[in-house]
Order: sequence, then C-alpha cells, then structure tokens
Amino acid sequence: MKIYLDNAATTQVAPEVLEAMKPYFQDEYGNPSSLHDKGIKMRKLINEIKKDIASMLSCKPGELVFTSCGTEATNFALKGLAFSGSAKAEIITSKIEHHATLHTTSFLEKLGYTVHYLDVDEEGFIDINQLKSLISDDTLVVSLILANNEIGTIQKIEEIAKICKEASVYLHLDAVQALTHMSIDLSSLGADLVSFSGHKFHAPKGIGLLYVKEGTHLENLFHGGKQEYGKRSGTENVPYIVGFHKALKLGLSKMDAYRQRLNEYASLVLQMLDQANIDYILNGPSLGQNRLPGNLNISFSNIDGSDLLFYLNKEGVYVSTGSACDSTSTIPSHVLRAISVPEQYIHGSIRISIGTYNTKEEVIEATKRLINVLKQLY
Amino acid sequence: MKQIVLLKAGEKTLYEGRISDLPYLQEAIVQKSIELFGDDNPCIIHQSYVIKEFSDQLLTLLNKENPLHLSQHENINFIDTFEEKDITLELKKS
Repeated sequence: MKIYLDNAATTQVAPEVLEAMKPYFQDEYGNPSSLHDKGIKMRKLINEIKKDIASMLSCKPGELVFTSCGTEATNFALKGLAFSGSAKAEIITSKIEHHATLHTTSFLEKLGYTVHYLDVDEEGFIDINQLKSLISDDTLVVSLILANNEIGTIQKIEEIAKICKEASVYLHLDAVQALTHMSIDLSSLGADLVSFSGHKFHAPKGIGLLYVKEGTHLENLFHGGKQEYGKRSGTENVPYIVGFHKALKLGLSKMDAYRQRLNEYASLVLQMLDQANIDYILNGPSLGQNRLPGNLNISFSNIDGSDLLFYLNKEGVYVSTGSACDSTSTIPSHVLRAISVPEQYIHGSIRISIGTYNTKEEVIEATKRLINVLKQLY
Repeated sequence: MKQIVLLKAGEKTLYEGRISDLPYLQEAIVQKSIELFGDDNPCIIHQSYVIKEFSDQLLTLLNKENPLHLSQHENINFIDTFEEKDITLELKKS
C-alpha cells in the first residue's frame, strides 16, 4: 500500500472537480472575450463563478483576480504595489515566508526597497512588538504567510491587521495553505491582498487567485487584452477556473469535519511515536486551532531527514523534508532555523501532511513504517 | 547514511568513512540521475539522492556478503577504485 502524506506539497484533483472541468476542454472551449454564443457562455460562466466565490469568501467579485498559481498571485501583490508609484520604500515580512514571498522581496531589495524580516518565536508566531517598532510612514506593505507551509503556524492576524490599518499600510497575506483548511472571511480578515492556490485543495495545478481589496492600486504585471477587469491580461483558463470553483465549494462544505478528522489523525501519529519511545520534537504550535490540520513537522534527534525520506519512499510512504520548495539546497530549512530548532534535531526533520483522502488505516500503517525505518536508522 | 565502510585494494586501504561519502564516480552519478530524473545536469539534491541509491544498493549486498568482492559484482561499477585491483568493500560493525 502506497501512502501519500505530502498534501501540503500538492493534492490530487478531486474526482468531482475533474468531472466538472471535462466539458471545458473540448465542448465548451470558447474564448470568454468572443462575442458569439460560445464566448458569451464562457464569460457568463466566469462571472457567475466569481460571484459565487466572492459569496463564499465574503468579498466582491471585482476584487478577485485569477492567476496561474499562488506564486504569481504573491508576485502580483508585492510587485504590483511596488511598481504602483508609491513613495513608500519599505516592506515588512517575516523570516518564515514561502520563497514566493522571500525571493520577491529579495528582488525588490535589488531595486532599492528596504525589507525588514520579522523574527518569530519557537512556534512560528511573529514578533508583534517588532512589527510595531518597524512599521512607519515609509512602510508600503506588510506581507505575511497566514498559515505556514512547513510548520503549520496560523498567525494571529487580527492584531496584525489592526496595526497595519492604524499605520495606513497595506497587508498582504499568503493564504496558499489556508483555503478550505481554515475559515477565511475576507470581509473581516483585515487584509488588502490575499494569495490563494488551487492545487492545495484538490483543484489542478496551474490556477491561483489573488484577492485585491477595492481601492488597492496595483500596477499590472501582464499587459494585453485587459482580462480580469483589466488587472491581469491573458485569456482566462476556463477549465481550471471551473476546477478551482468546484474544489473550493467541495472543500468548504466539508471543512469542519475535515479539520476534526485530521487533527485526530495527527494526534494519533504523535501517540504512536510516544508509545514507541521515539525521541522527537513537534515543530510549530501544538495541534489545534493555531495549527493547520494534518500538518506534522517532526524532528528526530541525530537522524538525517533526507535518509529518512529516502527509506520512507522505499517503504511506500511519501512525505517531505522541510519545505518541498527547498529542494535545490541541502541546508536546513530557513523556517526551522527561524524557530530555533535545536542543532541535534534540525537535520532530522520531515513534514507529514495528512489530507482529505487519507484514511485512519493509512495513517496508522504509515506511522508503523516510520517507526520501523527510524529503528533501522538509529 | 552513517554506516562506516572500508574500501580496500588487497591490504591497502583506499577509503574509510561513511558509505555515503565513498568515492562515487561522477559519470555514474550523472548516468543514474538521467535514469531516475531525466536530469543530465543534476543539482546537489538529485546527486545526493543518487548517492543514497548507490549506498542502499551496497548495503543490501553487504548485509549478505561482508566483505564484498567487487570483481564478483559487475553491476557495482559506480565506485572509483583508482585503477587498483582486488577491490573489497567491508562494512565495519558498530
């Protein structure tokens, strides 16, 4: 039995999503900008989908821009603001962001922006006092990851949003890991820009979404046919927009049960490790409301995480070491460094991310295999 | 991989250390990387994965035959033996 526990990296397309998408490849292939029946039908479909998504997320349809992925959404948010002509020249982010943010802010530093990287505590929560001390009239945007992709930390946004609002500073949230895994109400979240990605919740890869609060001026990155209310040119990817919508509806309809089930499964993994007397630490917050459900970033003492991953793969258990996006370097993840994981544990970290389609039996079996591999490696 | 091995030519020790640090041939690493990843210019992560494959293959054999006489295993052609003869690989027991 192969067991996929890498759902934070990506998820399978839900069967219902695939079925919903199918007609839009060969039957309903019109260009939404075309003024004939085939095109008009697609324009109407996209507009209706935007209205429905806006209703699910509590925002206005005109505030939603489809992108090719979460990374593009984050690039658009940060570069779009930076290129908008504001005189403000500082950006605040954190040390535990996804590379979509960190590499974008690094690029903006080269253009002359000053970027401040907030410290986090051992659970991954940003230093609010540091944010208060750094935010100023020169701050253009605060960009934070709402739910961390590696350690699952869900930031306490209410206070952060209040600080940004009082300072008249834009707040961008990378919510790529968050959608359908936790409640998101854009009307009360307090963010001006929010990035989403479809493939994290059973839509296909290749579709993302950026929420742009009304009144937020972004310079366009893509110029052309003025699709997406003139904000992002390029013919709309209709089948994938349909898939995103379907996956979102499905995910939100099952979210409460999903959260409860995954927290139970995650708890079960830890119980089994405890019973086997495995020396480990759980990176990030304890299981519950401040952590993404199903996310377990675990470090084992004096083990090489890449060895563990290698042998788990041989045993048919698929997990990640740290961030999947760190696979071009062998240094420990910047996130684990930022939360000060002790040296004897930091190299032995894996991320287990349980998902919608995992069963309790799979989780138990995978944990048994993990324990066996650990015993062989010790 | 932490297992300590001895690579010897007769009585002469060519290498002693972790199995993952054995002198694996770069061209063998690239060849395996092409086989596994379709990558003929492997990054450090792909190279390191290939080395784990090689190390695991050796450990499997060493658990049946220790020391391993490389001349009897034609498929073990990914270690640099420095053009020496009578090569053995021995797993040191902890």
